[in-house]
Amino acid sequence: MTAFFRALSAELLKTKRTLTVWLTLLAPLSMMLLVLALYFQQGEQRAQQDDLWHMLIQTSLVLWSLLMLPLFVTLETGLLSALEHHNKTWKQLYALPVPRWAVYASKQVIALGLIGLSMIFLAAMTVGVGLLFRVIKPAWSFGAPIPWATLVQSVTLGYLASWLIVSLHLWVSARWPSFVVAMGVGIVTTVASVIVINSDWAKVYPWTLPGWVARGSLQGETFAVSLALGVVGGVAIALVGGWDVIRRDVL
Amino acid sequence: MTTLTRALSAEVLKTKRTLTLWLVILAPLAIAFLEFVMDMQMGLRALRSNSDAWLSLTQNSLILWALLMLPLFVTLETGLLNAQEHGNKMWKQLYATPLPRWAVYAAKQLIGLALVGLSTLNLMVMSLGVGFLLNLLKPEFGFVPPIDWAAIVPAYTLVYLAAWLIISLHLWVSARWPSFVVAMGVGIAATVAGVMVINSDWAKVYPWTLPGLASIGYMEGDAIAAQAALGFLGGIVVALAGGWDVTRRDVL
Repeated sequence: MTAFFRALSAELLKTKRTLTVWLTLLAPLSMMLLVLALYFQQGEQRAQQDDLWHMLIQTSLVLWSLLMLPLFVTLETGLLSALEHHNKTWKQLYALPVPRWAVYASKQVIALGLIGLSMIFLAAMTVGVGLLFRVIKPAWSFGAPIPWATLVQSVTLGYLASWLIVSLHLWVSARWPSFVVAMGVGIVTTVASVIVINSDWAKVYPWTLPGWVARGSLQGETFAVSLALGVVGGVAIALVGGWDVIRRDVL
Repeated sequence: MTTLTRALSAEVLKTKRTLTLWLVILAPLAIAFLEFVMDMQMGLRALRSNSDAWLSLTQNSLILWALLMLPLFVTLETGLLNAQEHGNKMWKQLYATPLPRWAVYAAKQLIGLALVGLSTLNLMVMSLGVGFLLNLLKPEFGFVPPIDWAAIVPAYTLVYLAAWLIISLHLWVSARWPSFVVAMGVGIAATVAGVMVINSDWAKVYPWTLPGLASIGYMEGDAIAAQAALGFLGGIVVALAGGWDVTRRDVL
């Protein structure tokens, strides 16, 4: 365990003050600014709706989980691994008196931490957008109490369901040195998920799981299997991916 | 002009046998594969956007391509063209060769345009290939001749021409900022935004929705001249402005 914490603290040092960390803020921000602008532009239509909090949470969470999150996960895990690939530091890392698994495990934990952080920002910004409308558009139904329980529950579940793609993309980016492979896989699977979300496969396709679970939790549909697949699959792939990456020779 | 040809030939050499070039096949292949699986799975429900099966197929492929794959593909390709120089700190050396700086940027712009053009062509061929394949497997889908070339070829041409603006924008971003993260981040944010913008009034002027609007609009008989012109001419203007900005900057 000590070895793991040492590896983790080294990872944290390497991540601090990088664009990788800033992205956890910028990714939800860029999306929420647009949501804000669009709600503003559709003013007349919005003024007549009576459950705007729920609608806002759904808009931002579904858009996030379906499109932004998979691409964001690809980029973040790609960057965590590219740090070592580009500077050819795997060799040095593995020469340290830290077991190899600790290096991979700490990257996995950092990746999960970064994604979790971004979703906390997303939830906070969603509330922020709603509160802003409460002030500038008092006539809209944002005057209703903030549905904290719904928000926290759906964001948490969406996050847990994303563990599988976090593990998958971390493995891909660590296994293949080329950043293009990492990005290519992420782009193709994300584009595919836009089709898959409307099919029966959405329940089991890793890249639609966060969106499926978040939507299910908001609309009161069943999502237990998808959630379990996301979490358990995430842990399983992390173990398999770690096993695969650390047993490989590095150049 | 000789200098541009020389810079171009160097760029072509650097691009040959890279993953950058393979992506030109792989990106449209992914779309064609998705289209195939979707049609096999959903059957005629997936092909009801038009009474002609070929046109429905074209429309489905174009929507996916123009709205999602193309912007991300452009981001990745232009990012790679410039990362080649940023990553290896080659700008200095390039600028020290007896070529005007503008020729280097212009060559990259041309390669960027060519890569995207090639991928669009591949998409058309592969998408029609999916139609022929479906005709063998599921004759009831109605993929029978004649193919309405007069509707299909202009649609693919428009999706390409209207994409010039985003190609120029992303080439500039990736050349201007050495970080690959900036290039990818801008592309991802702009693409995700495009999915929201497409249903609003801003879609007519938002660069990342122009290719989709121009091509799908054309197939549905809307007036799309303004969008196509904005994408195409805007692309030329931004290429010139971007080239001016990048070449006048000092390199480290």
